[in-house]
Amino acid sequence: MLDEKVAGRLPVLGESMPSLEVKENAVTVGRDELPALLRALKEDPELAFNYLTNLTATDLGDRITVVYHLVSFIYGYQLTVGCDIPRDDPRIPSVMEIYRGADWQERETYDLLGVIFEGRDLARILLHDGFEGYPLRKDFTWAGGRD
Amino acid sequence: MGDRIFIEFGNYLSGLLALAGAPLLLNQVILMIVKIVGALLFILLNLMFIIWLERRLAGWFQARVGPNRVGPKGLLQALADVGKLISKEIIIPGAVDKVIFLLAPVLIFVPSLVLFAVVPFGRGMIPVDLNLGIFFFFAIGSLSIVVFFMGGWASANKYSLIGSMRAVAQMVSYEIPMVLSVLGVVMITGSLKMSSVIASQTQVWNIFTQPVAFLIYFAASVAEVNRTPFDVVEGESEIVAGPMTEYGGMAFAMWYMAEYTNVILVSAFAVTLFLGGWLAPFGWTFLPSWVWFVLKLYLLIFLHMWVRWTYPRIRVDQLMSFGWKVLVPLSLANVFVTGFGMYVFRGIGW
Amino acid sequence: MITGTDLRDRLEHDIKTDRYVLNMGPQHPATHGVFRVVLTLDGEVIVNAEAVCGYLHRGIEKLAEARTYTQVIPYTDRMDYLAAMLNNLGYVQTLEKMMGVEVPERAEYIRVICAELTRIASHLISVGTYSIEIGGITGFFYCLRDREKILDLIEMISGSRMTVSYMRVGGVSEDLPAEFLPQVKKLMKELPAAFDEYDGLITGNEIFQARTKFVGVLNPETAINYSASGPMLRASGVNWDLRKARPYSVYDRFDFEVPLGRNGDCFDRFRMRILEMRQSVRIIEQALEGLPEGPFMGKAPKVIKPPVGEMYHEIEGARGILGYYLVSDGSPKPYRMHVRRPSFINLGLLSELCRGWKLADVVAILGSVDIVLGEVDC
Repeated sequence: MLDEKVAGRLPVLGESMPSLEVKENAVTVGRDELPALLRALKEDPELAFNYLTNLTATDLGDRITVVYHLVSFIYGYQLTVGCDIPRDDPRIPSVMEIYRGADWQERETYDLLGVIFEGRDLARILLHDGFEGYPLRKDFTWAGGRD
Repeated sequence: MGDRIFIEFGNYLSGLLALAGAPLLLNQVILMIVKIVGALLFILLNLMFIIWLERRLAGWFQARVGPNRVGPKGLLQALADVGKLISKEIIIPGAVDKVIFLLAPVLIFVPSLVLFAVVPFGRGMIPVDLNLGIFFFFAIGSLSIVVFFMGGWASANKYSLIGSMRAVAQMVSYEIPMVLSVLGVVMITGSLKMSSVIASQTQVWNIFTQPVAFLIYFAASVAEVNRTPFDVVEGESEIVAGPMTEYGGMAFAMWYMAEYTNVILVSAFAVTLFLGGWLAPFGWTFLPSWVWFVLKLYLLIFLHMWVRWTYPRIRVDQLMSFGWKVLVPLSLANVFVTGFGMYVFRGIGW
Repeated sequence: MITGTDLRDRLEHDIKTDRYVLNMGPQHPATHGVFRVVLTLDGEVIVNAEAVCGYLHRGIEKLAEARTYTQVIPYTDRMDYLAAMLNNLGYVQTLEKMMGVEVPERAEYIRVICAELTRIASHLISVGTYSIEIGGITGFFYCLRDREKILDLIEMISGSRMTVSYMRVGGVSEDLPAEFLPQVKKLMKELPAAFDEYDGLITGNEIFQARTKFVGVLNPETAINYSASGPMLRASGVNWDLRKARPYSVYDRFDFEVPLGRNGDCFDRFRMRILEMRQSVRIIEQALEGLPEGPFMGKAPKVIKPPVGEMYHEIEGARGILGYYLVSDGSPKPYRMHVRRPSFINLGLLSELCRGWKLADVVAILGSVDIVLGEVDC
């Protein structure tokens, strides 16, 4: 559940972001406005979401959702920011400039789901460089193995 | 009584040879060979014992048991290890300089063995009593630097290279405070001869007149034999095993044994220089002189082991600055104070 | 007259030295498993350190998608295998949160006891191996001696020393055995003395302090920006322990402190762990005192089928914030599972921390991050 203060503050921050949608327990935003939103959330003195705790993505079949879990160390708020991107064009701006901790997590998400984070160097991190395909996508198949 | 047992044996042997009509030269050569074999036996037996001792002591320090299966109390563990190591293949990696690579573990033993020629094991039991005994010790002792560098360079491995570079830097740096610390002893003794050094300690051991020098010598000697806290050469958590990284089987065992031989050696010299050599303390001459020597030797070896299993490793730049900024000035000051003290005491008329 | 700066200038411009690359790992005594650091060195000084991980990647997130929710529990053991109880706890709590399952009091207390025991066991490994990394082998054996006693207790509870799979949705798999309580009480009496022993042997050592103090300093702003967590974050002086900041389970009932560091150096990161172990002992003692009677398993459905939706839940693991992100499509198998592995994210700081330090410091810094490769590579 969203904290009341966060829910109250979000529309103010999102005035210039038409794609921002405040849901029951999360917010979603279009990929073009994602960096602006995260920067606003981080720099807003009333929310101060200064800590990116988790960054991952899910292949939903028709689209890929990238989620950002933010925490404010000062106020203790939590916020989930979701961002849908098309499956055949999985580009999303990198947030490394805002949260340096996104570095390895973006690489991991790229490695396993093929989400292309723009504006940074991307290299595989867990799988070897010659690996083909993105194993956490639902259409990924591989020969051998138990299942 | 037991004090002269080895000397009597030598005289008996020499007498036997004279009876058999051997010429004087041959007589002396054979006697020298017997002495060498004796020293070698001393080294090997002690090596075996020290390796066992170190492992057992490490066990006790570390709240565990240590090797106790091979032979009584695990005493034959070293033999079993050697048996294993001999039977292992010495792997020679493709890129190494074969000749130097294989020569290094052989040569590492040479300086240590040569140096046992001037160790006074007991009363009248010094294989060769050189006039420049102490000088000889430092001159030959520093040769092992070259061998370390040979091993590290020939291995064609970056860890080995870093290790051997560290070895050179460290051993050169610590040679200086070591020599300077001994200078105080030499000033008091007025001789570089081992037997005179011991003779001069009949009244009072040098450790009491030169305590600072003893501490410097001990610290520097730990560094010379590359043991914790100064084991940056091997530094197993950083550079795997330094110059020994690529060695296996008996070649590795040679490096390993050379380290222990050096421990015996630097301790033997510390005993001679600072602890009165084979002299019995408090006039307790009921034990033969060579027993006293071995007892003091093991006291120092135990100290080496105690330090090793207690302290962590110092970093290489800290090691260098400790050597140059602490030990060298301290040992120079020690030389100065010794000289001043001698001048004053002489003025008083001691 | 030549000044120091002149000399440095000359060294840099007139005497040309080459940089070289040293490949530390994947097989190296100090990398805690299979992990590689590609070091660019200028003599002994680190110019650049690039961390390469993934050698232990088993695709647990992918495997989970083909297992039922209960079958995933053993996989969580195998991530941070030094603190399996905590991994179990994080996973089952996420599911409970998704499904709204009530956990009985006794089970919560048992969970806290197990989690804190594991935290101590994991920190003991960290403290011990750190001693080895600085070169003092003896400290390691003292820590392992005491860890063994904890593992015996954990074996008593769960039947396994490390891969416990003890927790279930709604509670725990077995009640505490009768002989457990007296033994754990005895151990909690002994442990503080053991911690004093480590302080004497490792923390108080002059050389140890010379090696670790002011080495690899991490300031609080960088730590937060890099999403560092756990002892690493708190060593920099940031007070963020989920047990206090956002209490889960029954942690709000216990009286304990969150130790904080001052300098954010390797020494503080090391000391954090010893201080945290002392606090864990306090928590366990209180939990043992308040351990209620009752069932150890709540009312949970036989087949775990969380409602459609997603859930992200975090607990304070031994190495930092351990988060589970689960997406359910209503089937008995997770649609997507993602684990926020603390040591994976903490490790991202390695190259930042190492730059400019010596070769030997890489080992000191890496050890102070305290990684478990099973968790990093997942």
